[in-house]
Amino acid sequence: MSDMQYQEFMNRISRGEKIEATDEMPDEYRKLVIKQIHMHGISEVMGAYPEKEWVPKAPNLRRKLALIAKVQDEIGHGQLLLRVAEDLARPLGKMREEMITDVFTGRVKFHNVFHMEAPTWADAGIIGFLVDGGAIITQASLLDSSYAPYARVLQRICAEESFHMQHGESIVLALAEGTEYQRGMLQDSINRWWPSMMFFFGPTEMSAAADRMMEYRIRTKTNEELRQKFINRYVPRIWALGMTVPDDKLKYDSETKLWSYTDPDWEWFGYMVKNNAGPKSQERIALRRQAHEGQAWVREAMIRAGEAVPTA
Amino acid sequence: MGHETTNGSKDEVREVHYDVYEVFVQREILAHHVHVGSVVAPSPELALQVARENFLRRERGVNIWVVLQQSIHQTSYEDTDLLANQVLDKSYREVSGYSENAQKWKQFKERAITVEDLVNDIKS
Repeated sequence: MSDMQYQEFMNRISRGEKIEATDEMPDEYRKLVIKQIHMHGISEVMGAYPEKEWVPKAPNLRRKLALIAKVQDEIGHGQLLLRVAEDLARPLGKMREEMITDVFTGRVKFHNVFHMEAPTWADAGIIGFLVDGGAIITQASLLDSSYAPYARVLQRICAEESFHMQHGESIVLALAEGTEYQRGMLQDSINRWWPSMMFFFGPTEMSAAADRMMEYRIRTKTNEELRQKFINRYVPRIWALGMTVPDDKLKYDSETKLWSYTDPDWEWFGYMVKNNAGPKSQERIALRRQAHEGQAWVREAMIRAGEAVPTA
Repeated sequence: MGHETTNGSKDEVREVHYDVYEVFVQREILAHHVHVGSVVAPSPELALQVARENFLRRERGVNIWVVLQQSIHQTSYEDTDLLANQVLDKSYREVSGYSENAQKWKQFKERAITVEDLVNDIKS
């Protein structure tokens, strides 16, 4: 792409125009969009694992059905996103199989929260309440992405997330109005997930790649803007439940309209995500590999089933 | 519309049959393409022209797809089992199945929120 073509592309971006899969685009733009959507899609798939652990142990049939439905939605979102990424990656010779298996070899990362343990039923609720809440805030900011196929598919994903949000809140509310033991479970779970949620949006000082994504308007809000939106929505809700947030620095400044908070351990979380070194990373990746490889014969059989049956 | 041409002779009339294309119109850039009907045309390029004349004389559109009708695979209306996904109560996977959340939040002196609230937070 010549300098003039690049300038014309950037003019389109700054005019707020949207880019389609078949448009001319700088290689850097293509690679950044693939990186973003690939990571997003794989995170949806890996995001099903912590909750799936609770399907056999759900406290009643309705909760079990809801949890299965949510797991099914998350895998479905992964499929939709990988499809979008795949259209952009095809000219680079990259297809679905590789996009899926990259997670086995650490060539694609997934969100820090999905590396963490979900030891009690309260975690199933807190994941729906806080992790989905955070994910919706992030995804809402991408509804205006310059890459149109991504923005379009996110409309559907956000609509389906509305059930996830209510489902998570329903579990949390049931525990919050329950016994001391149940309230204790809820508080422990909040304590467990809070630092992960602060890391979830990424460091205030963004990476070079994230900065480029902002310039290309692939994403439109900074990490810190998203984190502030999250804190502003969810801290008052946690407090309303009579729960505490494990951060003594948490404070709203009515002049700057910003929250102060304790930084999560950036270095540790960063290392964990990069090296799949979290408490559940390896176990969940192994399950993912087992599912993918164990079902290879089904994918193979489907090709055979699609082949014309010779007439007698 | 006349799809017939003569080859010059008074007796022989050669019938010309065009292909059928199904038409999908995208009304705005972040909308999905929606099926609006079909046209006949001798080529994809002309099908796009005819589709514009037929379906976008008044409304605004930003993009049109035409797909050869024979390339479309569809379910059978008779095969009701395939799409019979509403036989069980699915309120557990609908927002409406969680309406009691709002009363519970009220007991905790908080307001229930929806995805739209979070989307609006981003716009503000």
